[in-house]
Amino acid sequence: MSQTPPVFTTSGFFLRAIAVFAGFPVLFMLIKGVFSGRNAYLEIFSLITVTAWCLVPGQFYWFPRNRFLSLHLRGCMLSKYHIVTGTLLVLLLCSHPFLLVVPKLFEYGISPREAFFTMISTPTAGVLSGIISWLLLATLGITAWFRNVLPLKYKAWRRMHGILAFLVLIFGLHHVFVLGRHITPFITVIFTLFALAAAVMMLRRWFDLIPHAKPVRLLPPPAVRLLPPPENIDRLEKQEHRPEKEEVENEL
Amino acid sequence: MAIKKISGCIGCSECVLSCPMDVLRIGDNGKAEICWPEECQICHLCRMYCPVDAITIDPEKSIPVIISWG
Ligand code: SF4
Ligand code: SF4
Repeated sequence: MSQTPPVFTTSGFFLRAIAVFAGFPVLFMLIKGVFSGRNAYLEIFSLITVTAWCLVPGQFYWFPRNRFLSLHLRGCMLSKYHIVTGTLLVLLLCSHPFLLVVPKLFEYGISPREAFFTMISTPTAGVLSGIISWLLLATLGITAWFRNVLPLKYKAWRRMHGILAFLVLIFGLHHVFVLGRHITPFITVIFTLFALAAAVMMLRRWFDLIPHAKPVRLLPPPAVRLLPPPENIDRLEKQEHRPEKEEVENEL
Repeated sequence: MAIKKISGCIGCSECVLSCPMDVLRIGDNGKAEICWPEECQICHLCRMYCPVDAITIDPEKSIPVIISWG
């Protein structure tokens, strides 16, 4: 009898997490009507940047060693989501200052180059925190992509990655609070809560405050594995009662 | 007032320098503020010279900008 391996990975869980981190704040901004009045390019660009920024705290949650998530997703899948989302975020957020001046190509007034240099040479707190978080984010991306060529052990690299990510979050939050176009008191509270949750998750990991439990079992017990595949999957997904040995034998 | 809103201002003063009617000023919070709204001629210069597109001009009150005659 051929046996199909049980499916334990549910990408739906990842999508629900994305909905919480990005969908909820962006939906709130859309409902409040803060995206209005400027040209379509700027509004779409704003929406993409805001969505990308909202997913930054999510990266602290989708890290491959999150024990809670490993109940829902395989470690390798979690790692894949973390890498794909992280790469997208770094590319989108790092291109943000350049994309911001693109509309200047199509109208009279200041040129894109002048606009860019005026922007980065304005010595205000919001601009400085933006530049610092951009540099940190670029370093974070580069050290992650070229991890294999860095003379660092994995544990040291992981700690450095965490510290860089946390600094990006702190400086980025300052930049967003000071210069964000769509910041309302409610969004400020949501972002602060997300950032605090990210900090708590990272500190718990660092200081090993999460008690070491037995590794999560991803394969079902042998009695369940003997069942025909569709029933097997249904039983596991619906979290039904686990059959006694006699019941399994009767069914077979 | 033709300027609908100023959001995301970095306080670079470009709009203050470009406004022919002296409508805008940098306020105490380091951001552009509308000081003399009634003076505005809806010339769009402040919007065009703002490096971060922080100024939105109300389309209802806006008039087409004539760039050249030739
Ligand atoms: S539209 Fe023209 S007149 Fe009005 S504030 Fe801007 S630059 Fe000044
Ligand atoms: S030009 Fe734009 S960014 Fe600079 S002060 Fe005026 S509104 Fe602010």
